[in-house]
Amino acid sequence: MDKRFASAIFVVAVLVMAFVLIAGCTSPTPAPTKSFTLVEMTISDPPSLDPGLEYDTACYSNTQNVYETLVWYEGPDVSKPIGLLATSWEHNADFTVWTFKLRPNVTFHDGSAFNASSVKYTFDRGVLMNYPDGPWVGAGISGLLKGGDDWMNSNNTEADAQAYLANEAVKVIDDLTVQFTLSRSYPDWYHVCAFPATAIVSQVFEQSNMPYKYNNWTDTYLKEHMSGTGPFKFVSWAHEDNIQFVRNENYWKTPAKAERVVVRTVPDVNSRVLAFDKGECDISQENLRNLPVFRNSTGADFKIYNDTLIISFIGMYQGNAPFDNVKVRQAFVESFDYETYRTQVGYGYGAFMHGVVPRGLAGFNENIPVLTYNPEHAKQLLQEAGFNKSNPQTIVISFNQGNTGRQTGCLMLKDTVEKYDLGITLDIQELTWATLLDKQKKGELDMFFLGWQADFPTTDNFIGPVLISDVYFAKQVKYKNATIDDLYYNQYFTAKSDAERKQISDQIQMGYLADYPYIVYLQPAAGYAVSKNIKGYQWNVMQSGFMWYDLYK
Amino acid sequence: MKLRDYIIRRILLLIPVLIGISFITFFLSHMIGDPAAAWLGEKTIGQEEAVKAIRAAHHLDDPLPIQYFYYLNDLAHFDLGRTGRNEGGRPVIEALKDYFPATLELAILGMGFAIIIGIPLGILSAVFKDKVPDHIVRVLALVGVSMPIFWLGLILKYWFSFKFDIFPLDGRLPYTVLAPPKVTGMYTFDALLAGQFDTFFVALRHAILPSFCLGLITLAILTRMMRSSMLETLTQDFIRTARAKGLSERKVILKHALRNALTPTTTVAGIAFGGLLSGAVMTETIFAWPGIGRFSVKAIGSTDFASIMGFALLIVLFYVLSNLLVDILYVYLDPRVKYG
Repeated sequence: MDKRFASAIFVVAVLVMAFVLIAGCTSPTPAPTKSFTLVEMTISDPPSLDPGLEYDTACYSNTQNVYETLVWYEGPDVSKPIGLLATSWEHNADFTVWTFKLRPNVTFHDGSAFNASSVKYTFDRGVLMNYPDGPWVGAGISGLLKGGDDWMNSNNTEADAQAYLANEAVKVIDDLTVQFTLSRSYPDWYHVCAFPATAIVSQVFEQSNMPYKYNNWTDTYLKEHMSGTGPFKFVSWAHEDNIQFVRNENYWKTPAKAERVVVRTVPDVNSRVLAFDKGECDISQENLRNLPVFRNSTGADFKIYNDTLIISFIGMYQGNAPFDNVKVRQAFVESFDYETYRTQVGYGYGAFMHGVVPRGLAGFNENIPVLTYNPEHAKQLLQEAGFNKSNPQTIVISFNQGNTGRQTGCLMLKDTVEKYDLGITLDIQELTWATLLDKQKKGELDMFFLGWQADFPTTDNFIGPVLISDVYFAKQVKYKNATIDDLYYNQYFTAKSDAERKQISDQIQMGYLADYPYIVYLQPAAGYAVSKNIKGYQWNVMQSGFMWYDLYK
Repeated sequence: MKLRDYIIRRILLLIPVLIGISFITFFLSHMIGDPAAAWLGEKTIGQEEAVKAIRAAHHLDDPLPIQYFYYLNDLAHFDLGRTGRNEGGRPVIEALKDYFPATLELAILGMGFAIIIGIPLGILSAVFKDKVPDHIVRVLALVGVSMPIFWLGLILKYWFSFKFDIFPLDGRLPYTVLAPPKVTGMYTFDALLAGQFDTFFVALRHAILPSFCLGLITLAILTRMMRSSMLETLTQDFIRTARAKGLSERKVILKHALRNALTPTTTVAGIAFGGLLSGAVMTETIFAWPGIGRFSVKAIGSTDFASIMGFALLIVLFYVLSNLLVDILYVYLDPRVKYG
């Protein structure tokens, strides 16, 4: 081998390495300016930035800092609503007409004025959008407004839209007074006005850029652009990379302490920990399963809050055997090892459920007994229901792909039930959304994992979807209890006082216990990581992620 | 047939290939469940009314062949449909325009690493067959091939970003730097085109670790490929003749052996380039790189068929084009190759 040739190859290799190092060392990343820039890291990008369109915390965690609702809460207490864009509100005797006084001298980021017309525009927009997967339909807000149901059930033509508007469900009384007329009595309407989907958007901003039409959820200008009244103004969005905001210097309260906010999408948890430790990240919402990864972090504290308004449960399909038999349902309820699940999956955090209304809400009652693990009794119930080794049966239990916590729950249940030696096999199926949906429609799934997070901090927001036969989950699992339905529809909303309503909700929850329609296993805890030098964080259970306004260094 | 005619014929052949791929992916993807799920979240997936409304809005109640006909019709107009709820229902083509350049940039730089380092190492290894340099290169190549990308990525980040602070942790640019004016969507190339050299170096710093991580397996493969084809070439008669003529070893290797040995390596590089484009998801996740790999995984996770198909068609397109490029390179590498 020619020595000169070997040297040439060596030189090439050295040059390549030198180029790499030079590129690495020259022109270093410009340091952030001395003023305070808040960096938040998230696991995933929001689907869009339109608060009226998305039913998604990844969206609201951004929009709640740009847009504002009429109502919010004092500190962490959801029982103490305070005016945000509203200054006060009142209602008629049967809670069907609500009048809100609005805050004067508030402007949107585009310079247009906030007034009663903006509120009417926002609420009518949400209803007329009629997006089946959106919050206005999903959370039942459209149906609560007068004429909303008719519009949703119509062909959604121009004439139908005009017919809805003619109802004047949202009426401008004067520049700073707006009135809502509901389709039925709803004593908690002010909570609806705190839901991020009802955040007030700028009519001028949207209409001048891309006029919005009814029944449109495909292309809205607000999907990629924002103009609210809140403490931060939207700057830019590079999909799956970052979203940037700057402080609103003309905010109606004192401007925020952070001058700039950058929300970066960093899907890998180890990378987020490194970023915290390197001082490149200030805050991130974290799944509780990431707790062990953060244990050795030098830059972040992992905080846990127990009082989420979330419930986790397993539905049992009662439309056919074996779960049309209450003994089988009770047996499965008693076959779930609640304590072990909380220890293994929830790292010991989260609370057992007393009924279906979580802690923190008016309808929560500690005297309602929790579901318990009792495998001996469960086995006996299954024997009574006719299960035996000579007649083997397979029960399908499914969970959505990638949810390891639910997978653990399936495995625990399988382990317990199959040990009864009664010929029962639990077939665990990890399914994609599409397959899950398909199998659910065909009634092929006997058991499936479910979860519900409150839209509004109200008791009916849990009782309704979970226990009422023609609503959400109860409909999905074919659960029907006529007494409960009657109490809910005919007595709960028309109760004369909060105490009476509480009594009815207790009655409903006690009634459901005897039916065993679900394995309601946990009010799970949630976590977030925060840099050691960030201060001012306040938790309120209805916020999605962080309120940047409160934070400072 | 001239080379130009050959290229035109190959490009025209792309049309049936793309139709075939669209046919297979469309029907396969519709066999695994209800496509309406792409537009439904956890709160609405079990709601009958929502499912019905979504199915009606997206014509999912039409017979499958009719749906496919609509899809082809749209495809002919460069409309790949709408993404599912994860991407906010925006046009697939818009999403691809956002994400693909980021991955292409990584793949080009990764391939650059693989070629610039892998080929000289392969030559070195062959020239020093069974000597110390050869053993070192072979061990390195083996390590490169067998290293899990997610592990390598984290290790690179830990040492080169966290400990020594040579490279940034992740992302394409610091948030304090504006992206260069969009021409290709690849920041390094766009910065050069705009004459923004500072931005170029910043973007390059961000790209070095992820592209090295992505290209390492290809680097190892090219090294081994180059070594074996070089060894084979060096046994050929014309090499013996060249040596007998008294040419220096450097001339024998670089002028006579290299071009011959490069042909099979080029074939592998062409195929590997397609692999880099479609297989970047781990690298993109570790380095928070907003590329098409992450987009495709999200689409698959939510069974967003329009996005999955858009991704598949784009990758097929680039596979075919990179192989076409390889075929064209053959002509220049080996004068004996003629098309026609």
